[in-house]
Amino acid sequence: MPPKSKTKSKPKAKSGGPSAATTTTTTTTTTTATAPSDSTTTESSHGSSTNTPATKTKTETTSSSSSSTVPSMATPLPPIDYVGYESEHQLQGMMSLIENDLSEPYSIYTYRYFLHQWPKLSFLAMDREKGTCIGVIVCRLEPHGHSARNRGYIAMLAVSKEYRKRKIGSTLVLMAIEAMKSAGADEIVLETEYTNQSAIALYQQMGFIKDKRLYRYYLNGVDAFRLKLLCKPELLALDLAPVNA
Amino acid sequence: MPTKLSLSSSVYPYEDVTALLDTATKDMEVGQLIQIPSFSLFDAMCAIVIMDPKMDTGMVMDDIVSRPVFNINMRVTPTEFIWIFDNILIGQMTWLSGHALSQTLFTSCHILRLLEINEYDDDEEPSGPTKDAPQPPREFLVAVLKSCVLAIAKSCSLIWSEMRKGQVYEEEDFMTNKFGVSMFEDIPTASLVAMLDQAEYWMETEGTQWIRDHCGDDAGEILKGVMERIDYCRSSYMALFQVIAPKCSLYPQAGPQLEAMRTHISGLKATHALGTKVEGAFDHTIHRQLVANTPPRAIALLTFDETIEQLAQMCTDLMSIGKALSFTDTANLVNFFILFGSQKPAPGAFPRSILQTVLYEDRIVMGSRKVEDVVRESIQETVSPVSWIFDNFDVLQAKLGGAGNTTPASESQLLESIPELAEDDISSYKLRIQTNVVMFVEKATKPFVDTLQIMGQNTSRQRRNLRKIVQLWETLQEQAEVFDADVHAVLEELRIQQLGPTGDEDGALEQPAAPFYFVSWVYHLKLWVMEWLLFLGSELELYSPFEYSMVYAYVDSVLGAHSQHLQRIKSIIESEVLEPEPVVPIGPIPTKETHEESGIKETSEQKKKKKKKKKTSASSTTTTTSTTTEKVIEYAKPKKTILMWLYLTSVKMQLTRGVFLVLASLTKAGHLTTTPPHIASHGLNDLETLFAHRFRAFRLLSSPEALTFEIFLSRVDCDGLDSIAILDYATDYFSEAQRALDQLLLLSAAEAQVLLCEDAWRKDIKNMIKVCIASKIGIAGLQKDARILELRKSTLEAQKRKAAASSPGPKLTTAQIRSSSSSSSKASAPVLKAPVRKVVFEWKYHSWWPVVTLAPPSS
Repeated sequence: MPPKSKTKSKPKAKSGGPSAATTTTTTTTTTTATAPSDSTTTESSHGSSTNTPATKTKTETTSSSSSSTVPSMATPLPPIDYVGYESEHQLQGMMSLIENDLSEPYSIYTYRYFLHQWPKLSFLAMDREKGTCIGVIVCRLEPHGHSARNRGYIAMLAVSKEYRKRKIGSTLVLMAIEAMKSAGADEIVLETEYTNQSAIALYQQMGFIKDKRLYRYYLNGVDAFRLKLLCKPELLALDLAPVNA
Repeated sequence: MPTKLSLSSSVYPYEDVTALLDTATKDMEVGQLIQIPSFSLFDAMCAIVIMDPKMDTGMVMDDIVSRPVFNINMRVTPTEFIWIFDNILIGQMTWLSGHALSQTLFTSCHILRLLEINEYDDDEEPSGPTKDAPQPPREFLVAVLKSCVLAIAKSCSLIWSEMRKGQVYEEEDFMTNKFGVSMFEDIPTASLVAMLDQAEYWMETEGTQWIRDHCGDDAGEILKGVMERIDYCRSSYMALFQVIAPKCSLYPQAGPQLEAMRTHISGLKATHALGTKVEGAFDHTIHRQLVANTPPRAIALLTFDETIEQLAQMCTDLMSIGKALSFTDTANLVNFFILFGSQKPAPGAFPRSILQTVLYEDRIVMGSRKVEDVVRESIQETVSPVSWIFDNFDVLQAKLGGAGNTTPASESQLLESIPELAEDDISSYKLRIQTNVVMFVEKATKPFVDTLQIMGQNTSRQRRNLRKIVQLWETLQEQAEVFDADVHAVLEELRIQQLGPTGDEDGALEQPAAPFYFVSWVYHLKLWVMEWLLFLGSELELYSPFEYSMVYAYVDSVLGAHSQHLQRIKSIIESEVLEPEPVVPIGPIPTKETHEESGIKETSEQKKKKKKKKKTSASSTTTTTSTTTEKVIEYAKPKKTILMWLYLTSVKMQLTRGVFLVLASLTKAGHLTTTPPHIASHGLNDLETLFAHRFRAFRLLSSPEALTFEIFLSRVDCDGLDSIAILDYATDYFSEAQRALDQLLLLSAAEAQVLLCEDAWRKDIKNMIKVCIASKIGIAGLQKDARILELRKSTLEAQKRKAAASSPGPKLTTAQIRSSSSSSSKASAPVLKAPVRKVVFEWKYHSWWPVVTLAPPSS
């Protein structure tokens, strides 16, 4: 582990912050995981159910996108189930999905760090027919800074390339946001490469703003944006230590 | 203690515990985890998955084991020397750009195994592209290459010693880990110089002849290439040695060396193509033997052209810092720091670290001036306090200890140590103020130095740290208010002693408004930091288009407050010129002439400046700017520092207002929205929340008065004006700003106080002028937009209908017109049929102000 600067070292791995958004546009699917899908419930639509309890899962059955990159209506899209993380049995599928495209590989301990401490804040999108994991989101929630705000953190988000343009990513994000808010999140943050326009657009659609720019944040030397969603605006009025947040 | 890299196997006894762990975990369920609470995310991410090729970077792969070891004693031809040298240089500059030594410089076998190069251990194996080629003399290896490689390694050691000071950020700016590898710190500089001398001598005597005999038509160029590299090594090492010497003691001598270094860099570039590759001379897997970090970093070496470019830039930056050591006044120094920190592309981490080191070391600024003197000068340049206020400064400051002991205890000790303060006469009152001044300057040292040091940080950190700096100035402002109150009390006592208690009662000698010297200075710098912080948000691309309106409205309000404040400082200074000094005995009110007689005469430079300002005044039409310049003509006492600040702040305000008005116009026409549907589509956020969040760093400040969300909304409405009218105003602002900027360009470097950074300053001014010109052209296009024209038509028709409906009577007041138009626009926004167009923001002229236009109508 490299030594830190005497006076201005970073508090944690800069590299560190696992990439929440770098994979949303680059993930490809080769996963052969056999994640269980027996715990699903069904809903008829996606991306519109912010009130869905986080612990529940939901199912998408049709495509609502008219994008040209989406398979034509002649080829029915496979239905997608959204399930919460339940056990280590799902881990291999999640890892395969994320590892395929991340430039920064995570050790299995990184996954376990999140999944074992905040299992209720991770969700999977499953191809019901194949039983494979085609989308995943992994999050954390803990007090942050001097103001001890509850800060939610979207650590990883990945959607298989073949399943893009179906709002799977935004559905997973909304489920995670809802779960974190229900668990008492005051704000939610994540990092993404500053050039990843599609990921930034996805989060901005949900009200995130670019809060900070992090110089050479990623291992490849690329800057990151820290995006932030304020879940409890009323806290702004009470915040007595805004600078240190 | 650093050691030479050993590639031998580890001496530590290892024991295979796989079976033990298998047994121990047999009873655990799948998914069960044993974790100690202190196992953090950082630990998780750095954990090594042993023997996983991807996650265990220390794992020695089979192909590495089977690879032959590079023969470090293999002779090299001159062209091979050039290739090896250039690639080592690439490694050095890649390291300086923030990568690990293990993946850059240390990939060179010659760097890592330099001491294995043996003068007598000859290896007869031919080198070079053809085995039949004549063997080059061993001196190309043992004299030329070895000395040059040593020079680079020791240069890197010097750089490393600077970077260890922690002025820049580990990992994001720089990686200091040496992995325990020596960079030959124990070899004295004299030995290196002797080796370089020897290499040069050998080249001049024998090497040159060999090259001429064996290198054909390229001999001249190859010879030049070798000599350039030897010379480069000498000048670069000496330059760095002088640059990092403590307390800038040798920095002035580094100038010629840096100049020579820059010259040789051109020579390196010109002869780079002559290099011949040496297989195996670089081992890019060496990091596996040096470190087992996980996850591994990607190796991304610079190209040679990038290397040369960054080297040249580093020389230029170090030279400019060297020139700044001889700064004449604080204003020039501050401007140098501002422009150094805003360079594009940003200076490298090493010059930025050097900048911070030379700025402040052992309470000395730029190696020569006491920090208290610099702060005092900044106050004097800005608020021009009465001259006696800084009398006895050095004596009192010496009593304070000069070591920043500004704790209450030391303050009281200081006061007790001056028995004269207890006396009840004029001199003791003055002394009391002077004592306060000394203590205030001590307190101001930290925010002042910290603010300047931020210029040496990367832009992202600048913005993040400026939020803290604003708070520092805010705290100091509160303290300054107390100091100013003390000053006022003493001044009042002085006045009573001088004039008697009836002075005021008679009203004959009414006192001018009490000058808030300290608060004024602090508030000025606080406002500047606020502006800088806000503009950096644009520079770092943090704002989304829908936020631009609120950001520029906020910046405008801060700039407005700043401009107003500077104007007030100037007015007070001028009023002091015309009014009798409080301590001067009763007598005739001094006129301008009597001031000149009494020694307050204009220098020839000030007179020249007046002429320039006359020109400026004649051409400027803005209220603020024209007022400023007219007063300059009339009064000479305000120092040019405050005038330049006022002038530039006014220009920035005009530019900002111009941009804001264009945004407001497009918002009115519906091309731009401050409330995009997606903001609230998920019910997760709203603009007012974002507004509060964006400007939260200023929310608790005592001043300036924060722009509220409601005021922002009303400003976007622009008093009910239609888009074309708003754009007309915007054009006026850009025109005024352009005229003022044109006048600024006429100033000399001395007048503009940019002696240390004139080129950068002129470039910045020209870029602002480009924004003005491009914006005016853009506005002309916007005024032809169908939707904007439709809005005008609709507005005019509405006004006609209103006029017809209202009975003839007395003329409406302006307030009534504003009220009615405002309310009408809010009540019923016209439905426009012309298509909405995409708004284009161009930042190519300046990173603080965009040029706003509309994309062509879609077909």
